[in-house]
Amino acid sequence: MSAVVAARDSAEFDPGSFRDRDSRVFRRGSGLYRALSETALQDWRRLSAASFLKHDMQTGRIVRTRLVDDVPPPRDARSGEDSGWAAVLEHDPLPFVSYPYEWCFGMLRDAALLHLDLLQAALAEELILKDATPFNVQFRGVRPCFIDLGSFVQHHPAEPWIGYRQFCQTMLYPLMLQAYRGIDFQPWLRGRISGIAPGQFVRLLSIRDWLRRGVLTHVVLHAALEGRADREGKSTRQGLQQSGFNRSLILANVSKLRRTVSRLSWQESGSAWSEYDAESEPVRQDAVAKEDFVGRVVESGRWKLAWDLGCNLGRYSRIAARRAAHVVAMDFDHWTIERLYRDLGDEGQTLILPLVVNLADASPGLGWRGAERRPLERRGRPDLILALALIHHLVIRENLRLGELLEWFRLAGDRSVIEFVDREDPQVRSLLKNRTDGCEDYSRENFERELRLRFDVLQTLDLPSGTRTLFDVRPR
Amino acid sequence: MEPFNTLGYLDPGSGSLLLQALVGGGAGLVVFGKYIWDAVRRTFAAPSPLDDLSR
Repeated sequence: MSAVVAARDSAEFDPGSFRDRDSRVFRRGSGLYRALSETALQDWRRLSAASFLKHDMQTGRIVRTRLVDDVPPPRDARSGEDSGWAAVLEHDPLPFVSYPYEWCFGMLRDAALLHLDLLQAALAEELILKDATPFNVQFRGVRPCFIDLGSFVQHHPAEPWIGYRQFCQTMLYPLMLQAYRGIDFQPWLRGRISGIAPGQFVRLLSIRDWLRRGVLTHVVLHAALEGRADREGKSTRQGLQQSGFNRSLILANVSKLRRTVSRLSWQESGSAWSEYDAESEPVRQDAVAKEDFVGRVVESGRWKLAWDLGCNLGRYSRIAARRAAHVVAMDFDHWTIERLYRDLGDEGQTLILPLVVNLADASPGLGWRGAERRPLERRGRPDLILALALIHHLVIRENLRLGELLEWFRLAGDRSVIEFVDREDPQVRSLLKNRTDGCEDYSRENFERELRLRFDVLQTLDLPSGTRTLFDVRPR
Repeated sequence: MEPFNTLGYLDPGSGSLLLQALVGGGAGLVVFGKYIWDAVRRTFAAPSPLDDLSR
């Protein structure tokens, strides 16, 4: 069997790539490819000649991509027929796929700015981005990277920007919601992949908000026009073209949008969790011993993917990054992740990807067939998991069963460092003070019994505070 | 005149398209005004006998 036939047999289309009829992502082994129709191939050739592409691929703003001729796309699963693809692009693979409903405010804003920058660059070369969704951006560490090369198409000068509404719904409005109202945008994006419609968003704003930058035009007028224009029932696009619409109007709009987005900011006065490291006495006492223990585990191997769960401000993520190719730092607190994102950006740290994730309610499969956006656990198996000062929150505050939680750890990764915090610890006492049932199953004895049922314990360390113990474990 | 239809799968929303003329500054207002004027003219134009023949 030739290498080409073997490649065809093992390839499959990405379940999240189906909306665009001219371009579709597929995987073969660890490779990431994009099948192109004849039309998309012509657009790729135009894009290849564009001056910005090479520079943005070199700086990582656009995923490195090349045309390949020895990787055939998958055939139709039922008929076995070739689907008539004209060409295949190969993309550099991403270390970890994340979604906008897991990003912090700064990440979504940087993704929106990248989108607008690329749109401006494309228009200058008579190209345009045919959609405007944040799912077209991924993060390598804290650096946004545009991945949907199939989105660049030829632009006719009289054609309006088709992606404008999608940009508003999935990027501008969620950012305004956070900046102007202080409401976390993630549940809104997770609740509806298409984002927040203008008519819905305008109702979330007060009259005072109408005076804020960009609201009157992009929200209020947008919502009003949407209803009226839709009632006309004729081609607005054709009417605009006949009325003299031209590319300079898009450029003017994009330029104003960029100013609006870059001035959106969000500042929380401080959450309990982002001050956790600074305030808690046991945390201060234990910090050195804990860093030493985690450091020893980290130094004992080379890790492809590490997860730091309940990462707080990323102290242990940074240690993991010494020997891990990529670290995903997750915390349920939005402001904590926002601070971490800003700090990592200032440090130039590119190996740590910060995400807003509540493990007790982690991102599920979403969209068409629940497979368009994958659950957290199906986006790469970590070979190292750090769960420091985490499980008492999940068991006592989120009411997860200790045994089931440890079973999740057993299935999720190849090696874990788990911290157990005793009931006598001030943090646990604080969590338990309003519990009437006492949460009796949360005990050192019960934890160790459940742990040893599932893991080999490689080493342990009782921390100086006297109420906390670290366990370095490997699944049985 | 045939509309340029290069961008297939996304519904752009009629209001969103119109708004792009409005936010495009002075030149955009001219385009918007012309669009509205054409729409008004079409609404009040007497139907031509040729319309029936063309059907």
